[in-house]
Amino acid sequence: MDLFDLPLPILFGQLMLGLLNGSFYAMLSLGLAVIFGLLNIVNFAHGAQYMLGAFLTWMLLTYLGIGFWGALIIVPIVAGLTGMVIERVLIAPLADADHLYGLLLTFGIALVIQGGFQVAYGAAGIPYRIPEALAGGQRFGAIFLPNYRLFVLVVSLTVCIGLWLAIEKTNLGAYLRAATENPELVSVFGINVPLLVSVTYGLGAALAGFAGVLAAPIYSVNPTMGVELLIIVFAVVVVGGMGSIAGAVVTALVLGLIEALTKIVYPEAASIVIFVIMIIVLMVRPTGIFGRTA
Amino acid sequence: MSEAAHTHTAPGAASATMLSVRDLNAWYGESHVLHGVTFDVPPGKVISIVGRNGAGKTTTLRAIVGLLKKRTGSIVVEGTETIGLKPRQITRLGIGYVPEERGIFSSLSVRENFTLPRVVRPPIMDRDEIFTLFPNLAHRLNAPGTKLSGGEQQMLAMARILRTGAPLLLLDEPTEGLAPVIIEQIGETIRRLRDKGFTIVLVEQNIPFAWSLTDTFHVIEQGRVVDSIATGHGQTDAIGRLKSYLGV
Repeated sequence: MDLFDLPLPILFGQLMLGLLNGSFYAMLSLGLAVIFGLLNIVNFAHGAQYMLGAFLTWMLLTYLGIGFWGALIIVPIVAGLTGMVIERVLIAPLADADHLYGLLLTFGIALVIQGGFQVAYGAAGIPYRIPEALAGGQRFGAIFLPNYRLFVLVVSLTVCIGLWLAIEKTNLGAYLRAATENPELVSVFGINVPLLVSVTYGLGAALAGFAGVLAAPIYSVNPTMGVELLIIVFAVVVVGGMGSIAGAVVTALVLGLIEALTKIVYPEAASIVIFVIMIIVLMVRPTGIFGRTA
Repeated sequence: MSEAAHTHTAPGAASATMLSVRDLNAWYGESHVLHGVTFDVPPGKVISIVGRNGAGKTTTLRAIVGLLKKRTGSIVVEGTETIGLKPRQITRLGIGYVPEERGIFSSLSVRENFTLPRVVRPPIMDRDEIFTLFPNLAHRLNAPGTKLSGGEQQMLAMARILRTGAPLLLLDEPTEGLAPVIIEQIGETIRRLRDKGFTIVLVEQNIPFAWSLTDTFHVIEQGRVVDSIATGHGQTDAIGRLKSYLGV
């Protein structure tokens, strides 16, 4: 099928969906890339932290009557603090061990969290309502854009760009970049690197939790939602280049779009196209498209 | 102790030691690399640590700033025992460290590299003075750190620790891999820093370079100080002695 033979609304709808998925990939891969850069661990718990964000959003509403807007503020804070505790208590003691241990540990953490939620809430999805203020949508001729999806797109891109600027332009960001390159020397320069590591991991977890809140009204809230997404996000990070922040975000959006377009042209390939691209990139440019060569 | 008291110590004026290393043992993982290094660094003096490759020169500096996890013995910085402290606590006592390979961060601009190390004392030299010393850096502040030449990177590595106000500078082979004309500039810079009252510990292989800068040489072999040679009058055979240690 030719892309350009499609009715505009369908093409546009798919592009929108691609960008939307891409913005979730972006939020998660950004956190993953920053954590990988500084801690040198592939954070398998990232998907669980995202799932936790969505569940917390639902729990806040169900048990405490706190709605979406409250969750948007509370959940990232809870996720961030939990992340910092996990880093301090579980990950930090492994800092000097082989990085494989960190990977196994975070994988274990993910399984424990996911398993716990499966026992408590079952594997079926739980719906979460789109907040009142963002219900409905905008109509441009034949094209309909749901308000909530526009909101997610704008918010997630703002957060990603904001974080990118914070990392590239601020002093704290300079500490982070420097510690990513040479943590020893940064510690000699008077900076508390273990604290920087905890804060960074906490920020990554907070961002995953934040994405979870945004995801709750779109995707159904269920214990495996993180695993499914995380596998794709890993591919995104590999394609973009481990440790490259802007690269992770741009790659996430582009791959989201490619995935959506594949769904139109050849739906059967939609679920594997990102991985095919990952394999090609690994063969042609193992450091990733935006990765720095060592 | 008032901060002003030791920031402008004139060369040789004070009698207390700036840095005192006693029976320093250190390990890289399981391998025992320093075997009781002992030396003193008087304020305002330039001390050079020389020795063959692998003798433990760089390791000694790394151990002083706390980069080796397992250390025993004593390292006293202006009266404070640092053997149990972390790197960030040690350098806050007033140490500026220029590592081997210079340690310029490639993902940071020249400006960010310059401002990264935390200020530990009221500055001995202000920004203008630092950039007068290293004029090349002043108009390259927005360049990425690694776009600088080797000589410029060395100057940036020195400039950024001068900004911290640290009165004790540890310089690990500042001339390594640089062209003779640049080495001359670095030598001139170190001379000026010495005249300003900085205390300097220099690790060097280049004896002719270090000779005119140094007050006392300490020769390290197999992780211990085996000889100390003061420069100055009546030491005509000293260069020969140093060279024989280095096998050059």
